[in-house]
Amino acid sequence: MNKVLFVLFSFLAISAVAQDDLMGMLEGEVEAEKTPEKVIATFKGIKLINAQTVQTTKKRTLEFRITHRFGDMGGPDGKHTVWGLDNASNIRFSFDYGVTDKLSIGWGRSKMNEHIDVHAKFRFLEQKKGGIPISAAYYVNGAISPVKNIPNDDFNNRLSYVHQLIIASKLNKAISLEILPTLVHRNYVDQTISSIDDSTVVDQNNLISIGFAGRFKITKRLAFVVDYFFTLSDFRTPGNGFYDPLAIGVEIETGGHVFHINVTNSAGIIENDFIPNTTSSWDDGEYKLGFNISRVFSF
Amino acid sequence: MKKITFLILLLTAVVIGYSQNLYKATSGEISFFSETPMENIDAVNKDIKALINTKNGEFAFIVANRGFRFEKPLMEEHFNENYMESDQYKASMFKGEIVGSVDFTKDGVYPVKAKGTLNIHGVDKDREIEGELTIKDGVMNITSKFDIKVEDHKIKIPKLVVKNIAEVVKTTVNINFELKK
Repeated sequence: MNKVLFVLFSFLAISAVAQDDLMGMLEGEVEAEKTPEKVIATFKGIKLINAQTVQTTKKRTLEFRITHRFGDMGGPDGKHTVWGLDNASNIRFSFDYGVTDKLSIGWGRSKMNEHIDVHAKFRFLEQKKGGIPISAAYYVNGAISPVKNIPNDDFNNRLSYVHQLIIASKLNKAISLEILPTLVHRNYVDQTISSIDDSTVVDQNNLISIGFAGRFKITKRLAFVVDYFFTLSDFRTPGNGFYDPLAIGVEIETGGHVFHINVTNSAGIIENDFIPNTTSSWDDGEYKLGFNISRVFSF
Repeated sequence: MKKITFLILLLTAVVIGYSQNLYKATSGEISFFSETPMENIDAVNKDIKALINTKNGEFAFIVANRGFRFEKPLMEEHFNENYMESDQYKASMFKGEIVGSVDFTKDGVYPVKAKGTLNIHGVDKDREIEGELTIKDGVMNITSKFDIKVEDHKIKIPKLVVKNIAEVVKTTVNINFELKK
């Protein structure tokens, strides 16, 4: 009998304790309803320096970007052009619009090859805390080069395309990394020139390149950023005057702006330019100061 | 044996008695408003959990920081990433008691105060917040308007955006309670 009483009183005591701690009850409820949380802000902008990021423009927002590459900082002309500031290797304006939170479309125009491009990015995988550790997006573009003269006077020779898979992971608050397997297709390549090492090796219409990119936050609003593309090609070697684009920079965020100051050996800003046509070398001082500014407008 | 039956009955009665004192939030929202000449920022969160023990006036309130919805998606991202640091500080909460002469058994409108600790961004602040408690047909409603100084909770606003974000954020709470079953 006494035992039964004891058990009953214990129950009473427990229920009384549980009732006492309202916050404990609420927290228990929150814990019970918990679902894996989406990881946000893997990157601050839709582009790092050269590389696309896994981020898309948010729904019903328009992102206006100005990207500028000055001339070579080193090399023979460096000191006569205030480290390249007198020259503009490339200038690009672009607009991106978020159709949904996962799909954005855009348009841009670059000085290099007078490229006008249309592009789209679709984010199909979201990293989740306590769930899937990566996020992924597919990026595609088509570019036309409306230069005065095109080989064979054939319109198709003006076109090039990019398909890219973007796989990213935000490791922690400070570090985000991504890898970008990329295919660049150019309708026209000059196959009359062969490699200096091997006369059977010529330029290819399809180029496969793998990009690597990272962001390392120093403070909440200041980060160190880097990206690099490795192109798999026998023709695109330093011996033939082609180099892999490497860019390093600093990213500063202020409210609706993201501002980048960077140094890169690529004059090209879109994949159609910087993957096939980076002909400058870091070793020869042919790196260029550049900046990206983006401004986001919400509707 | 009879004694056991009696005790079981007593226990059940006690448990039921307890739960009759507990009111649980069924719906409601918390919103805040930051007003500056540069821009206004407002956000609403409907994912509220709250309990009131009418026996002793005890009150607890918890809201997930990631549940605040902003007009502009970038604001929401900045709120979570830069200011609230929601990955680290998942919820904002208030724990304390309702002070004021309230007869929970009678319909009416009662001016009340919530006295306790407000925890935002992981920083506790003792507060006495005025509000209004309405009881009608067994349904309780609490409304309150109060200010939160971002500085009190160690939320830093960088100089660059100091003109865009108010130092004092106006907060509004409106919660409906029903007897917890």
